[in-house]
Amino acid sequence: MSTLSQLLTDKRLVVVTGTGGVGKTTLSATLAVKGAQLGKKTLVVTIDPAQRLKDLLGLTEADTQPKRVTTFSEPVYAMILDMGRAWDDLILRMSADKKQAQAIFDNRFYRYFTRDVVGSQEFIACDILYELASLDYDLIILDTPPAQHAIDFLDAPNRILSFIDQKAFHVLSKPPKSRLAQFGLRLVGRWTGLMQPFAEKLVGGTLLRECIEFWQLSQVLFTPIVERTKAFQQMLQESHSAFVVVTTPHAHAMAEASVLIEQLRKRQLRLSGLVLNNVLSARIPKPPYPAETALWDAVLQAVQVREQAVAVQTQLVKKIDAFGVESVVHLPHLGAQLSPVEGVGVLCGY
Amino acid sequence: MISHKLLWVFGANVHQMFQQQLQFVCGKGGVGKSTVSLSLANYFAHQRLRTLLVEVNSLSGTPNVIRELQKNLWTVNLSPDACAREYLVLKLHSERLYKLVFDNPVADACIRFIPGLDQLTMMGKIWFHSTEKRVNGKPQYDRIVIDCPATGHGLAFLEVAQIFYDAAKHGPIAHDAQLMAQTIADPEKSRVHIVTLLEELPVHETSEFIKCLCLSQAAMPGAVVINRLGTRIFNETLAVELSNTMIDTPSVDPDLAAALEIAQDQLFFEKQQTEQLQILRLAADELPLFKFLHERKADEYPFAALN
Repeated sequence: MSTLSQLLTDKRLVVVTGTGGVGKTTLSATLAVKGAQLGKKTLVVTIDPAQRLKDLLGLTEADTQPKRVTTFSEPVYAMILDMGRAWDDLILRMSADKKQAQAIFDNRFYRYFTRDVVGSQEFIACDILYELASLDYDLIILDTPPAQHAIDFLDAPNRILSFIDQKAFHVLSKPPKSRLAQFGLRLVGRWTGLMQPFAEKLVGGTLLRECIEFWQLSQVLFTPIVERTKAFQQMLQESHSAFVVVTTPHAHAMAEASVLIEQLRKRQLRLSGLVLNNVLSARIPKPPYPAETALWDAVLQAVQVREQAVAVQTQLVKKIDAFGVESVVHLPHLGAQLSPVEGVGVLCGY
Repeated sequence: MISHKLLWVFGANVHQMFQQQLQFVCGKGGVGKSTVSLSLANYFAHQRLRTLLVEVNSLSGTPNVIRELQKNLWTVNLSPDACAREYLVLKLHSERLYKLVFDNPVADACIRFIPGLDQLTMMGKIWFHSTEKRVNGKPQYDRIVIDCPATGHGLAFLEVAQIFYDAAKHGPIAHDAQLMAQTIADPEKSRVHIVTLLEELPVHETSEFIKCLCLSQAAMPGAVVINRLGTRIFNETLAVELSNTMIDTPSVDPDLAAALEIAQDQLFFEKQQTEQLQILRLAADELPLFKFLHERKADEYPFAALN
């Protein structure tokens, strides 16, 4: 059995991954406190956390810049990476004035691209993370969004990158000389001839114009971001960066963890360990109950439910060996009477 | 009449929700949307309805190839790229012409040049399947269950046709988009079910989703399906009794103390679920709430109580 400290040894960037509901954010906070206990200047970056977790770190929506956490005595810094606002914030920073920014916000493709195109938010997140990594923190813990396929966070920026890299993109987004006369296609003669009427016929109305406007804008935006995103992705490959996969002893979480581990290996990304969270104590009490009342019936029922859960857990835990992960940390299920802050205190002992 | 399999919260006519040809199943990642979609599809197939289960961009199967799972049940995995290409081929009226023009990186760029086109063409493919007829004139599929993409705002997929119609206004894309949007918005032809868990984030996201869906009017909401619902052991009286017992009983017997601790834990868990259920009820308003059951036996489905 490994300890949490071992997951942090020699690391500067630790990415906490796992499917939704496994306790990633709590673990990220715990690792951050642990890092601080080990004497490192630590920053924990959380994405879209639940309210009680915002409370855990003493964060509000406004805390999109690193802020010293006051809920723990150890020196920990925390911030929320608001992926939804990241693009808008960038536009505001880069625009000459509010009017220009508003024109962009009104472009329907900008809205669609930044909200709904798979990868666009992860893409801008990389840019922000690159910025953070260049600051003077000894350790950055990155809590990833609770996606079903947690690997999306890694793959997503590449879709955007692969599109931007293509020469065709640059060609297509040049301003047309006449209305649609050279719809950006100065490639090969026959393609130009064939594409133009097609494009015109297929996409009538303002659609095309707004579209071109959007891509012209994005050419200005994307170029600096692309470099930084690529640099951040490079950083993920370095020896000081590692991934931690979090799971609970439940079938769906374990299945996802298995896929995640495989995906990390395929991409040759360093897996520093697996954290099995919410482990129930295997000891099932069998006391003589004081009376045969409704209450004790209910208590007995609760114990039976726990017994079933432990049985499932035991079966699933056996499968962990097959994952072939060197460092596995077991974290206990925390009692209801503990506050989130107290809970982190307990987990730090592991 | 409350069936033990059905958590019937409001008296809405639940049968109404499953009569439409297009059954969209939405929900964020990790709530078990795929399991619910498959189960719903199984249910329809069992009712002898010809059913197509559509997955979007899942990691399984060759894209855009329909395969038979069992009697009355087919499945297809749609890939956005494949759908976009198929659509363009259709519009160009010639595969050869398509290859001549498009089988190269420029095509990729063009497809991605118009953001949302790939989502639109996936919706188009689904819409196309809904119009397919058999030799005898009846629909090829009585039911199409769509396991919706869990990305972004979730609504994007449902709204994409309307967005394109608004933007394009004329031309083949606008025309097709309009047809799609009309079908999706028609309460007689399609419904949107939302899968959730009784946990803070999923409930919050579900509330937002229902709000936005009703505002956008892109489609009619159907049922809210609660997955992985735990058993309820402690009612209000017992909850109070338990708390009192914790205070009164000195922990002499460690086994007894451990049992009480487990009970208290269960109570806490139930309290959280109840809290989230209340929030969900408020958000769901008149939409019926279903509890989803993982049934193992072939003839038992979580929606069996609908009969």
